Amino acid sequence: MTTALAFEALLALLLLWSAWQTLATPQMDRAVIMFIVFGLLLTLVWSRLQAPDIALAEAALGAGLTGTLLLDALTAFRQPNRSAKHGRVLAAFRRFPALLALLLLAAALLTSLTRLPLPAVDLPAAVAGQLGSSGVSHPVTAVLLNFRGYDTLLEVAVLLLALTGILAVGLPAERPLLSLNQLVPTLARSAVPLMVLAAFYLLWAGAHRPGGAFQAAAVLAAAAVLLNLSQLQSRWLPTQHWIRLVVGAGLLLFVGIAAALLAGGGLLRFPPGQAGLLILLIESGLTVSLAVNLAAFYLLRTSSSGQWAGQEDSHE
Amino acid sequence: MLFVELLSNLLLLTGGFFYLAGTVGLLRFPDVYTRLHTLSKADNLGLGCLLAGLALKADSLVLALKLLAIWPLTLIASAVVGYAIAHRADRLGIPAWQREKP
Repeated sequence: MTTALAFEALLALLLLWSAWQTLATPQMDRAVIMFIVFGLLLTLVWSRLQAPDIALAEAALGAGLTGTLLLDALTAFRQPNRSAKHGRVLAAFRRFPALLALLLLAAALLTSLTRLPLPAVDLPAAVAGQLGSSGVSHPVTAVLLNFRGYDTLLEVAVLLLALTGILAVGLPAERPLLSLNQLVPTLARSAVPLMVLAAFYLLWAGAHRPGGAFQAAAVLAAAAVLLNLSQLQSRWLPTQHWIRLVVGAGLLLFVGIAAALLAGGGLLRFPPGQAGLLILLIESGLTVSLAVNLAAFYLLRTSSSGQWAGQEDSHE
Repeated sequence: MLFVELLSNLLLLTGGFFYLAGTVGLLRFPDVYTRLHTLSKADNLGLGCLLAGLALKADSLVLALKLLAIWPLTLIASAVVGYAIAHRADRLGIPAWQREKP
């Protein structure tokens, strides 16, 4: 008991330390590495809190994919440091009013945390009571896809909006390829089939244990990024229509099913008999669609020549 | 049963020892190549011991096999990543550490 408590206290301290390091270090590359460390520590915290679903998502999306995107941005900008900005951040912290406001906010949060009202409804019991009619046996999936399905619907829309935002802001041009050693493509060739297998396992497992569409999609997207890093998969171009089609299809399928069920008297109120099948259908569609969406964050580029560069530049 | 329990604990402790050795090496070794050496050798041996120890404590055979399946995957990944980092460091012209002659 005390060992567990000591470990948790250490974990909490490390989490705060890595967050501070991420914000305060003057070197950009160090900040990115510390952000990835922060994500991994947060994964440990979630698993200590017995929330394996969130731990999986944090490891795959928060630390993995976001870390890759940040590293990519780092090499794209090649800013050696941010010392000027760093000075400003610290100076702002040194200013008394900001510090006072921060302390007041922290005190307010802490006191409100101690006097949280008891929830009016016993949610865990309510979920457990309805689990039988949800179509799945894992409570997290039941909440995400059935009881609060519209939350997930909006999350999918947010990812689509993020991609639209990236397309609107403009894409970075394709960079010249780094010289590559032979081992990384070999790793990719052996790892990617396993990653695809793991992704579909996660999708299938979502019905009765931690897993689901978001985690499966993150693994698939990571496989695509790995293939691209090994130069086995060329960059995607915004002119490739199948990308837009697949990315939109997940949300369209979700909205379509929701619209078809509207006659039943509520948004995403599944008839208990078909709930399992409908959830599996939505999750399968979302897995593929979200995987392309997430991978597109990394893989979409304008080609340097301004036109279709799609021929594989395989590196044998 | 007692023997299995004992062996499992011994493996866990050995694993912890190798992790400690790997971390000390990471902090104390002089250059990128030697640090990669401790990470890809000592830590992976530690992981192997740890997983074997946990597999002996596992409730079911499937769980034990799942635990053991982590090891080869990590071995392959860390071998490739270690090589890739060393390769890049060599390309960038980072010299390997040499013992200073007295």
